[in-house]
Amino acid sequence: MSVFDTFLNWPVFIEALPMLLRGLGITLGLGLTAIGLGLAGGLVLVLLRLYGGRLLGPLAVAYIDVFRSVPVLVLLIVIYYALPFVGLRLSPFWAATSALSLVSAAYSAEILRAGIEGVPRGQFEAARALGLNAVRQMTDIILPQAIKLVIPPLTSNAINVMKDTALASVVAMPDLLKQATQAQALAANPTPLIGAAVIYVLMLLPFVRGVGLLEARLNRRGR
Amino acid sequence: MTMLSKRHLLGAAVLAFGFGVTAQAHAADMKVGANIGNVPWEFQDAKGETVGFEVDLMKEVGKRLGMDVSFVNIPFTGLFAAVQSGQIDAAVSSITITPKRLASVSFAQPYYDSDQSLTVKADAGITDLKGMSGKPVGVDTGSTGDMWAEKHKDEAKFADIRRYEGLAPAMLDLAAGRIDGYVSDIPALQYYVKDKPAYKVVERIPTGEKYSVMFAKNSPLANKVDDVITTLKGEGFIAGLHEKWFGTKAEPTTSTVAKADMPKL
Repeated sequence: MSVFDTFLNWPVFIEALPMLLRGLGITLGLGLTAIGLGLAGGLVLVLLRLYGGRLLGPLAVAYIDVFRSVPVLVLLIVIYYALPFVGLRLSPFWAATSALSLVSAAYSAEILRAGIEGVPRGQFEAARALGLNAVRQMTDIILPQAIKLVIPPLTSNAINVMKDTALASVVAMPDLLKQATQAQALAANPTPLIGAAVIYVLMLLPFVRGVGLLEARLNRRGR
Repeated sequence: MTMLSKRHLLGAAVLAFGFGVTAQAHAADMKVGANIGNVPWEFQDAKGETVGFEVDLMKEVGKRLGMDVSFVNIPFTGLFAAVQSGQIDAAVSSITITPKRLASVSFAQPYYDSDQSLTVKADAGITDLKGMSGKPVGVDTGSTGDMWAEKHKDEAKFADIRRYEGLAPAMLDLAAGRIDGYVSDIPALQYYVKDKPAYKVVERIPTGEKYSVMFAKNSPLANKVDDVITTLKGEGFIAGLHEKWFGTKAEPTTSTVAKADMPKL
């Protein structure tokens, strides 16, 4: 059998395509939910870390450190297989979403902190001088500037979360990778796996390149 | 470092690698991929040794062919790519011969006739497939149980089909209550539940499957192994394995006893 029959078999690919696209839908659903929850969680964490005082500040730091140390796959397996013993039984979707967004929140928090700390001091002083309250200083003056600074690393983090959704296939989640392994076993031909790899690349490559271009532009402007 | 010396170094590395590979090929060994944990076909016993029906069979086949057999643990869904890429020479894991698979791989003659089955928690009050109506069912990814469940999901009214990488994770989810039933090969499940009263095999699902050894398409090894299986059936060796692992005699009409042709498309 030639390479084309084995790895790039067109009829096998066409037959597997509907399954792969169903998997892609689930991968996107999982990834976007986790990215959204991760960002929201990261924002809460960074505000607690910077302005949470003596009690909440260190707690936020502890959370961020722990969840940046734990491998996503390990966390997912603990959530999925261990938590039912204490009565918390999450579906494959919510187990995977929780694991991904718990970790993503920790990374987002660190990225956002770099952004907030990158806003010049004068902006904080000016915001105070305008007589805005603490919340509006953040939402109207600081955060818009901070987020703009860290769009490239935030996008990179989102790309990582999207890629990590493939881990969900170990908890019986019919995502893109799982559908591909299923299709290749049904046809006894690895072409669907190659197909899945191509779909992942096509989906994420524009974002990866976009981050590169954006970084170059920010650097040229000297911010 | 100059370009020239870099190129020489690379050449030397390629040569060394090439020799390594040739030296290995001369040792006439057969790497057999198997989804270890698939009772009673290939699994680790209490001493950590790989044992089972297909392990005994392939060791004997290797002995007859004068080849050293070693087993490589590969998940079921990985076996298909592994034989085709040459990572392993043959694969066993109660693999069912299907026309679709024959388009991409070769099989020796079958040595076991099988059906699917439904396994549930013993205290769940489910007595047959009808009891699964509106409930999620588990299968092994890409297995014949998966094919059966997908084809019959409407008449069986499964709420969902969850796909697992083998028996162990599926049983964990059955215990956790995420699935209410598990459709898989009947011999494995009957063997598995023997000493686990928490589970029960409640229905045999006739599918008329036959298991065999899988090879890369048109691998010369396939014919050699097929010949040895013919001999072993004649000697009653495979029927002996049936008694050893299942504790019952194989029927004379089954492919465990009766000789068969190599499956063709």
